[in-house]
Amino acid sequence: MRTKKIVSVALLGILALAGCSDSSETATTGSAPPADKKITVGFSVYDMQYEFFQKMAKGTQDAVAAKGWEIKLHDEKSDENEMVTGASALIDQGVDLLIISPFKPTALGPIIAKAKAKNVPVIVNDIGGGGTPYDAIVISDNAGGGKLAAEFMDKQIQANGADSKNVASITCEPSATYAARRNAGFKEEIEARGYKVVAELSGNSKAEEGYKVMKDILSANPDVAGVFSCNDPMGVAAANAIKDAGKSPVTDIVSVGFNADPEALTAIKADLLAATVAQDPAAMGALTVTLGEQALNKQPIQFSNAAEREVFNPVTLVDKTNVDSIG
Amino acid sequence: MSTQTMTEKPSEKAVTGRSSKVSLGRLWDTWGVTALLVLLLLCTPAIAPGFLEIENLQSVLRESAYVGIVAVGMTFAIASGAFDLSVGGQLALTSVVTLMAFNGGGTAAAVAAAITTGLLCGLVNAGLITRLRVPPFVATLGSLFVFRGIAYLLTQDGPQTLPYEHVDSPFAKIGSLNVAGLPVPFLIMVAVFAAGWVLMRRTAIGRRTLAYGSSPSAARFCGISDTRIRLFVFVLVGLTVGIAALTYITRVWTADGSAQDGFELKVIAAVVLGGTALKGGKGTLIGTFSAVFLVSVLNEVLVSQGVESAYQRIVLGCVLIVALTIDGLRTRFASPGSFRRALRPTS
Amino acid sequence: MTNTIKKVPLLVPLVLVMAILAVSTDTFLSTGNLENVLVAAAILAIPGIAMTFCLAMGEFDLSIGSTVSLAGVACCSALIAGQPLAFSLVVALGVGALIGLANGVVITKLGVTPFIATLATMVIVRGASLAYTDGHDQIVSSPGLKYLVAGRPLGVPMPIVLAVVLAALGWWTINRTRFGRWVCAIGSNREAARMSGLPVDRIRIAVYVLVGLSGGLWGLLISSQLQKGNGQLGLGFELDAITVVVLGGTALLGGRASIVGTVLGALMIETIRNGLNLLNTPPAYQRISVGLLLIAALALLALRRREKRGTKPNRVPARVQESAA
Repeated sequence: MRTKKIVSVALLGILALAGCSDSSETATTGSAPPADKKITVGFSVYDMQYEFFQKMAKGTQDAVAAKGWEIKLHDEKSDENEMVTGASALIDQGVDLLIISPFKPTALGPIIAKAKAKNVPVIVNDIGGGGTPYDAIVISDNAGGGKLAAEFMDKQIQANGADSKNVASITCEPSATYAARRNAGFKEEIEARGYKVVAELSGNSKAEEGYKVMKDILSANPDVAGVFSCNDPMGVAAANAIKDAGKSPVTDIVSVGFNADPEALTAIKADLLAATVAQDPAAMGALTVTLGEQALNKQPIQFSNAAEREVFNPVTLVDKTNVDSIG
Repeated sequence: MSTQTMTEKPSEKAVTGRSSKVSLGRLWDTWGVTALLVLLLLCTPAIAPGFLEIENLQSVLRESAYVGIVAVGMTFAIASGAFDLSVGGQLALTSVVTLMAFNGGGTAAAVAAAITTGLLCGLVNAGLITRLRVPPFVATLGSLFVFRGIAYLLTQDGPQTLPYEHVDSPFAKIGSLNVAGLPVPFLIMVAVFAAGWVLMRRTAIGRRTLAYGSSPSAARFCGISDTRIRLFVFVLVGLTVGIAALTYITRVWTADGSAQDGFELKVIAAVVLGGTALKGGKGTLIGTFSAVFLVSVLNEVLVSQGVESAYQRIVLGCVLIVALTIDGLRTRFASPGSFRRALRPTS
Repeated sequence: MTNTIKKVPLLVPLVLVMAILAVSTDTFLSTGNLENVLVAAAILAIPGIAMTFCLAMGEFDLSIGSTVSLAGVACCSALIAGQPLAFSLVVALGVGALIGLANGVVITKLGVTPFIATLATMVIVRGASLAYTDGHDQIVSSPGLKYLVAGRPLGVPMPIVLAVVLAALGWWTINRTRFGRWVCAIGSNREAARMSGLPVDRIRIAVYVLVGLSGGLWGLLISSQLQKGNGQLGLGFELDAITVVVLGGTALLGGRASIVGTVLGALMIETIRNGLNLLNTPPAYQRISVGLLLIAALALLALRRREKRGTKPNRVPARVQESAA
């Protein structure tokens, strides 16, 4: 595994070198970066232990290599101190553009202050912007994803012929305010469709706790017709709990997750999970590089939400009908 | 650990941790980790050329300050024969309260809030231990949950933050300013270490803490009060957390209940790696100081080499074992007092 | 009866909490929910029982959470590689036992204090689990593995069967065998135990292997529930296991062990968690309640001990303390 990674990094390096000659032309068309200097992009990643961020890093690396630029990766390892230290170090090392998917969005302040002082544009990838003056943020439409989940759940519950209008919602840890938009979007839409969210409990983003919480929900409200989980580890864990209680996570209690992690796709194929909401981390990574280039060249950026400088990356609902076409 | 203390009441020599006899083992106790750190620093530029950049060095000094500051308090706690497992909870709670105070009343209020909250946390622990007679390990394990829980309650609607418009406030500058090229958090850390050293080596309460740690019952017979030692040690830990929170929060600008999960293990590991015995009775602040930087420089080297975080963990764990093994083997085979120690009456 | 209450101080608060929940919710006493609580408590009690031995010895093991992760990963990857179930289970338990053995050897032969040794293995084993999986889930769909949590021999859920058997074994070992007495002897005075010729090092290693094995079993149970293994499972579990034992009244300084207390401790934690979930309470309150419970239980215990003992023979009279200050 390790060797494979080294080889791929080496290949990327060669690609970057090969692409160099082309990029000098494109670079001259832009105004800000001098033609003789290769652009270096710093990317500070939330946590490389997670597949989602591995894909995001891959998408970013590929897009950077395609432009003939260089990339420096930093792993925040799910730690706000490491995030501030490492991202500041990238700026110290002279990167021309900083892309960051922040472990704690509210800790972006000192990083952006430093970047501003050195005139380095900052593009935030996902999670949140923490109310700081970043140049742009690429974000999955979390609330929109929650709504998609609610729409699907409503349809599926009706198809199942259940008469209960009670559903449950499992949230991430209390501090994940941006992921909470998923549950908020879900709640708003499902209540508009005449359902009642009878339990809203936190599984702290962990599979183990998601399983236990679902068991407790089943005890307290045996008649729930659906459950929405803030991420897939908890979603699949909840589905396992439902299955262990002798019910079907698709036809008895409609279980929906979020992220389209491989385990969720596997579960959907095996009728263990009804649906999940797919984000496309690789596309998000590529989008940050495009936006970064625009910021470097002082070109205007097309925002989905100009007030917050947000660029939405669309989310899609994945269920049994389209699971084979995904990842 | 001097062997005379075991069978006799603690003598002045033993209590101050100094002895006329110079042995390799004794040197290792105080300077071993420092030697390792120097060795690592000598090798580092060859492995990671960027390491010597001024900004990088400043970053290393700045990022470890909060660990180092709490490690001073923890050195006293461990030297007295007790842990404080609640420092992570204390740091989270103090940081949250400090930011609330800053957003309500500015820099002065924030500083006052940090120190007060830290002291209060320490008092709570001391109260549990001395009044309710709960063993320190359990008392602080319990208060870890409680402090974190309160921090979670205070941040139910989202983390507390330092708003970006205050980027130039004196408060935010605590974390980012350099004085004569040295980061302010590092200077604060050095001051805390210096104060700690004076406290441990030059004051009665410091010596009594060591004496108490080396043998609580002997110390009791010499008239040292348990209550006072416990109160001193745990309030001191709280105070250091308060100071550390100031350097921490002005660097990361945000706090909630989950801030610095596992902080207690980080701090205790640094103290023990530095050469302070978990059994109590021996404390070396110089060792603690070096250990804090040993860990952060090593981390820095691993990161600069592009080592994945999974492998970083493995290396750091192995270093911990190797460093402590040297110490363990030395006390096991080289100390002539092992037999006499066996006769030591346990309290 | 009063004797039982004195011996197992957790009994009264546990009954109290259950009574409160029975009144304040209409679902707590349903069979489904009681079984749910019992199963969760059983899973928590299993590592607790082994950890009881460790704490009785005056030591503790911080690496058990990482063991949960690596054992789960080992079992699931073996299953994915097409190995038979029995082999996969043995591999997982073997991984646990090996980690325990490594802990024991580092602690006894290299003289590293247990806190640091197990802290280091905690970090190393977690790293190994992450490195081996490269951050990916090892997903299985194994009815055989599922039997560990969903199986019902004689109608009783499998985790409860396992916990009852292990608790009985643990109780018997602590109270009725030489090994149990030795463990407590080491806990009350290790050097004295060594001087009287006990094979102290071997006993300590055995206890760490025991804890490792229980971590392996815990990992199997978690992976059985979730049908997967990965590097993120079991984070923070070491505190759960230790909390259960401490809550159960096994003295941290060693020398005393209460398996019944540990089982009740597990029951207490899971009852509270379940109750707060039934009442739809935010997670912050769960942490606070566990912390307060821990402090209250231990404070009660300590105060009672002080009453019983009166003045300790070697306690310094107050007058001397005054003059020293």
